[in-house]
Order: sequence, then C-alpha cells, then structure tokens
Amino acid sequence: MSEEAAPTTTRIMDRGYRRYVGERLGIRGAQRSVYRYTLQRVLGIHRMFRFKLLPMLAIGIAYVPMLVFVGIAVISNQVQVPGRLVSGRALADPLLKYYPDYYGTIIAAIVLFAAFVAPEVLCPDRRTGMLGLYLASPLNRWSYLAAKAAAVLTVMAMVTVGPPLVLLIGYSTQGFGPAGLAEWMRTLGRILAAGLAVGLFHTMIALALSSITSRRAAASAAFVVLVVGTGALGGLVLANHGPIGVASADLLTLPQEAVYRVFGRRHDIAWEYRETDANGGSGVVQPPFFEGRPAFTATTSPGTSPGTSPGTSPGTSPGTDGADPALGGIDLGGLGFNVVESCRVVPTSYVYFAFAGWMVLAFGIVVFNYRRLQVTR
Amino acid sequence: MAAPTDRPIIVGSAISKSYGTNVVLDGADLIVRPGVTGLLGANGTGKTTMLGLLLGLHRCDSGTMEVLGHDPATAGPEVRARIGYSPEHQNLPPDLPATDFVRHMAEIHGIPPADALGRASDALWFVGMGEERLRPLGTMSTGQRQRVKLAMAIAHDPDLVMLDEPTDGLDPTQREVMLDLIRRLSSDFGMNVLLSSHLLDEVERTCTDVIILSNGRVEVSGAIDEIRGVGRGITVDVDEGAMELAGALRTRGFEVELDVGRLIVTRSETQSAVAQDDMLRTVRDLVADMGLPIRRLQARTVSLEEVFLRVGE
Repeated sequence: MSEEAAPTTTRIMDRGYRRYVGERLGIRGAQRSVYRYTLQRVLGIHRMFRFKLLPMLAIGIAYVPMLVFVGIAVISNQVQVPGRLVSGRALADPLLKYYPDYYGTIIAAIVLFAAFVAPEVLCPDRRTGMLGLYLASPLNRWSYLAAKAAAVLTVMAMVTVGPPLVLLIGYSTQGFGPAGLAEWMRTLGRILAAGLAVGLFHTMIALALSSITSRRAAASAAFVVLVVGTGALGGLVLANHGPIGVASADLLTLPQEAVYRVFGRRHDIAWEYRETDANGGSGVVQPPFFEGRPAFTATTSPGTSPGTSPGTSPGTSPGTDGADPALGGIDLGGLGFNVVESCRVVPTSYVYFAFAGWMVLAFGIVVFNYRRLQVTR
Repeated sequence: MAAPTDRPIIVGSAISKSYGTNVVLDGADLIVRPGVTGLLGANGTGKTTMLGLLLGLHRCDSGTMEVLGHDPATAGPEVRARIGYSPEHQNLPPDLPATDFVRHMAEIHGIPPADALGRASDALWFVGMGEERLRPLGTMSTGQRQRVKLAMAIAHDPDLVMLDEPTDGLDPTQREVMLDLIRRLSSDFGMNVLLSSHLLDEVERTCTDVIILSNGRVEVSGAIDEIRGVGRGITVDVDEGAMELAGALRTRGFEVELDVGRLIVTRSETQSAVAQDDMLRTVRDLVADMGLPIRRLQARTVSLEEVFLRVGE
C-alpha cells in the first residue's frame, strides 16, 4: 500500500443530522408504512415473545387441522386395508374436509383472531397519542383507516385464505384435488373469494366495534359475545323451526353461508328424519358431496327427479322461506314406508343481502365514529 | 430548504374555537415570522388548541389561517409532510424502541424506508439519544422521551417544527440542553420553530419572536426585543446616596422607582418628548455631580414577565 493511496481512500464520513434533499413519497408512502408497521405490531414481529403468542396460537389452530387432513390423504395413499377390496383412499375420503366445510373447522380460530387483531390495530392509537401524530402527518383519518383496514384484512387472510389454499395444494399432490385444470382454477378462485369474504366480514364487524371504544379488551369481548351469541341464538331458533330470517342476524353462520354460496352450494341447517308412507316424499340420498367429484346417487322412487345439484333441487326457491321439504330421502320402498330426510336452507338472496347489509352497517359505524372523533392530543 | 425570507410562515385571522360552551379561542389574530417563535400563555389559554388548529387536527369554528401558504384544514400531504410536531403528552407505545418509533414517523412524513432508518438514527444522535436509541419508549425517563419526541419531529426534515411544552418535566440541566437543541434547529438548519410554553424565561432565551395568548386572543405579538422595549427608561444602581439621587431626579421631573440601591427612572407624562439618550446623559451628569459610587447605568429592559403580567391584568 503506497503512502499516496491513503488520502484517496480515506474520507470523513459526516454521520450527523442534516437536511434531507431526497425524494418524498407522500400519502402512499405513509399508508405503506402504517400498513407494514401495523402488520408487525399485530403479529408480534420485533416484539417480545408474549406479543407473538396469540397470533401464533390462532394461526396454529387454523393450520393444524389442515395438516391433519393432508396427512390423512398422504397416509391413505400408502395403506391397503388387508382382506378388503376397498382401498385406503376410499376409507379416507369421508374423513377429509373439503374447502367450504373447512371453515366450520377453523371458525374458532377466525373469530379469536378477529377479536384480537382489529382492537389491537385501532384502539391503542386512540388511547395513546399516536392517532394525533398520524393525523398531523400527510395522512388524514380516512387514508389512515384504509391502511389500517388493509392490514387487518391481510392478517385475517392468513387464517381465512391460507389454510384452504394449502389444503388445495396438499390434496392436489395426493390425488384428492379437483379434476382438470379448469376445475382446479375454479376451485382456486372460489377459495380466494370465499376466504376474502370471510376475512372481510370479520374485519369489518371487529373494526366497527373497535371504533366504538378505545379499550381493547372491551372491543374484543364485545366481538366474541356478538358473534358467538348471535350464532348460538340463531342456531337455537332455527333448530326449533323458527323463522329462517334469523339466519341473517347470525354472525357466526352468515359468513359460512356465504362461503357455501361461493362454492355453489347450500348449507344444511337442520336435518329432519321422518317417516312417510310408501307413496310419500322420497328421493335422493344427498350426502354432502365433495367438490370435483360426482355425488353418488341412490335409487330413486318414481315421481322424483334425481338430484342434480342441491342448489337447483326443486323446492329450494327462496319463496318457500327455506323450509324445503324432501330434499332427499332414502328409498326403502320394499318395506312400505320411507324415511324422508329433509333440511332447511337459508335462501341465497338472504345470505347475500344480509352479508352486504352487515358490511354497510359496519362501515357506517366506523365512519360515524371517526368522523365525530375529536383529536385532543 | 426554508428560504430566508420575511414572509410569514403562519397567518391567522379571527380564529375562534370552542368546545361546547367552553370558548378556547375567541377571534385570535396571529402572524408567525420565520425563526423561533414562542407561543406563550397561562395554562388553559388555548396554546395546544392553537397548535392543533395549525396542524389541521381540528377545524376552527370561524376565521382563516394559512400555514406555509396553505389552509391546514384542507392542506395536501405535501404541506403536512413539511411540518414536524412534538405533542405535549408522553403517551407513546411503551414497548416500541425509540429508533422504530422515529423511523415510522419519518416514513409517515414521506421519507422512503431506505432512508428512514438512517435519518431516525441521525436525529436520535442529534438529540443525544444515540446510545439509547434501541430502548423501548416505556423504559425511558421523561427527559429521554422529550428528546425522542424532538427527534421524531425533525427526522423528516420539516420546514416548520411545532413543539408543545418541550421542556415539560425536565431538570434544569436537561432544559438547557433542550433549549440549545431548539436554537440550533434554527441557527444550524434554518428550520422555523413554533414553541409553545408557559415558561417565560425559556421563551425569552430561546425565541426571537413571541406571541402571547390571553382570554382566547393574541394580546402581544412580535419580536421579543421590540416588545421588551415598550417600557423605556433607565436603570441606575448606586452603592450609596440612592435616596438623594432619587430626590434630585424627581425635582427634574422624572418618575423614579427606588428599590434599595436601584433606581428605575422613567419619563413622567409631561416629559414624553425627552429622548432616551438625553435622559441617559442627564442621569449620568447628575450622578457625576453628586459624586456617587455607580455600579450600573443602562437603558431599562422590560422582562417578558412584566409584559406577560401586564397582559394578564
């Protein structure tokens, strides 16, 4: 190293505070920062372990059943039951949950997560002075809320879109997936749409409650009480043949109903079994069928059409108030009587109207509360 | 960069704001020139409300205002990105490290993520929190949090910094450091500072201009030197013979306040035409003639406190 080299390679680095002459990103940059910061806060990234616990738990609850189902699919491909003609695959199939049904399995995780995430995102900013700092920046309350809502929706999608998506990929690798590329793509689109719908529903309801109070615990508790409470009440009323309209107020089941509609199916609320005489209602055994494979059809009695798809079965028109008689039945004609299975279905129009209605209401509550909010510090 | 012009950075006229029946501001007129301006007022006279209005956090009931040439209530993100604000409260996310907090606030004001961390660190070093920049805010003392808030207000290089009670809760040493930092924002970096405080001496020592709020109005506004020059006169300190000097001055028609060895000499109503320099010469000659041991002879300065107390009456 020559002596002359030193001056050219040595510089005084000015590390002090100085004025900034670079680019400024404006409102989009601010929103991106709020979005990223909120995600990190909620998921406990860069935070102590106790802040990571709840998100890890909720994500665990959402993904573990999925892993079990994929595991069953994997094992079933390895197993041949000795002495029987059936394969492991045939035995495994009834055990497996398919995409719309999967939400029923993880609804607890979804509700838990929404109850935790949305209050965590909105309440502390109002309780501390952070909201005042945000509003003194290029953000206003609406651009701030949009970034916050996007963060909540993203986190919710981790439990509403993620698991069925991994389920689809897992099943597909094991030969349980939808048949054909077109069907596969359709299923993928339905999973995304259904997952986002469920995520959006819980996001908006939880955000609305979080906009009412600045106490996190109160908002969380209110959300759980509201969702589980209306779910229990709605189930009770419907099981006792109450008006089908109460399903619109059942916040636990409504998003799941929407999922079934996205998948072009209905959701059976309460099955009934009753005997009829030999000439009475009878029809098709219509067990929950699986996406991408044909429903199996039992023998049909004369006078009824074979079930095509449940949504288009006779008697499911909304006008009948959902009490569809004789959607399916087991033909035991030789015995002189039939056992008729029937179930009630919430009309599709109810589902969509109620879903949209709740979204508009929740949005209105958030806007109302943030419009009148006085930032005093 | 702030252009060193004398164009006001804040102009407000007839600003009124009330919360319910509580009238906080009642037709306040406000002009803030470039430099360091102190916003003074007793507790509860609407300093924080005024800052909130200037930041666009709330809207005034009536009146107009312009901050950096725009109405804060409708100002676009570009204007708001050039304002730094340090609130009065200490209520910040307790488990957030200082550097993450300052960085996030810099990003909110438009600094790209790639630059924000560096600027956050630089700002924290500038306020003397460099070594402690990774500590969570909740574990910091009041003094440290005050400095973090200052770093937060300047990390994005604003043209106008609004500081609400930045020395609140600081001990005398920390206060000196904080006031020196605030002075440097203007002298070293050319930022304009609006400093809200109820402490007269710190405004007197830090600011070039002052605005005094009282009863919902701006009662006094302008350069501190001009304001303090309002009550002209002469201060004379003598070791002995103060009584005699006072008597001699009174016979010449001056008004004299006597406080142990100090005389404050002002013109009486009949003498209002006498110039300050003539007064000074008269007093000097008189002291010399009487052969009194003199300690001080100077133009009288009015402390901000006197101005402030007069406003409050």
